[in-house]
Amino acid sequence: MLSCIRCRKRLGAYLDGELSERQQTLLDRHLPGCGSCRAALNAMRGLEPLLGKLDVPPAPTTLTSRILTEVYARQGSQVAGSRFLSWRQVLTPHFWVVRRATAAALIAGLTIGAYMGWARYGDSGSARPAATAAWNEPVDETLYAFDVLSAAPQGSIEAATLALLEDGR
Amino acid sequence: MPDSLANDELLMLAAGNGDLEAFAEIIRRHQAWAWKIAYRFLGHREEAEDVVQDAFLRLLDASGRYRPTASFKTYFYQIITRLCLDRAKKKQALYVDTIADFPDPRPDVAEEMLRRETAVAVRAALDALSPNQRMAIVLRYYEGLNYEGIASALQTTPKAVERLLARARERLRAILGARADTSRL
Repeated sequence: MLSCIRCRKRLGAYLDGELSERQQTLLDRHLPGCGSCRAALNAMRGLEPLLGKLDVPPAPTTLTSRILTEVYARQGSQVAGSRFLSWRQVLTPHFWVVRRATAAALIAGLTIGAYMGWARYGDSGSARPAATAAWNEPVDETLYAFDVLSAAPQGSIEAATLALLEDGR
Repeated sequence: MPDSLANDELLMLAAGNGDLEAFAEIIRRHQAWAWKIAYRFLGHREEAEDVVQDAFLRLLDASGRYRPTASFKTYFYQIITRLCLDRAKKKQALYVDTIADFPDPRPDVAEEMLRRETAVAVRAALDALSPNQRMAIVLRYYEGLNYEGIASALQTTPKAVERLLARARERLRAILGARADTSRL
């Protein structure tokens, strides 16, 4: 036999359908014979239509765009400003694809630059005469290399400058 | 598992891998109900907007750690509930929107006045509850969650939810008084 005190304590769960089958049966048997518990239950039932009268305006039409703007702004600042990557970022395939492409481009650029430097300067440390003719063909024109690293007088800046001045007279 | 839930989880996993388009789809799907929870709880338009935005940003921040051990909505309920409760605890007076300022098409003026008066009274009664009681009421009456779902959102037990709802109902009955008795007539 269920007392009113115990019944009142479980009325909310009874209303919400949250009682076990056994507890539900106990209240089902108690309520028909207890006017005060039935009144309490009916009063509780009256809350639902009342709460349904709460006004809720529709979501602002700008809400989605406002959120997306912030999302993309955060992502942009993270890409631009981040020097340190989390280990989760490092372990994604996207990370390695981009990094490999960048590394390949860098290596290719350095290789081409090194070859061009060797082709122009060779082993002598001074520039080969540049001409419209092929690079390994002798040229008639005397060119002056400003070889600041060479100790040879003919390669010095002073000699080259003097030679230019002589030619200019 | 319903297709929409399975898709939400896949979208979250994609967002965790940096797919912002997937996250944008999550926002489009869920911002309406997130707004309703926040507004019903806070009763203030700008506050509700802030909370909803924060909730999605929090979701984005956590997307890298997200694992579909529970449904996406369960996970998001926890986030938005937490933010609503934190916002409520920081502020004393949340109730600012006294009269709804959006148009109502019903022509009967007296009926409209009564409806608005009731809406204001309900708003005031909800605001008189403690934050946890108010959120329990919102999740039960407006979201239709069971005790398990409310407990998950509030990070508590179903028994605690039962007690919260019992106290909240008692308080609402005391405040709303005769309105509750006649509302079912």
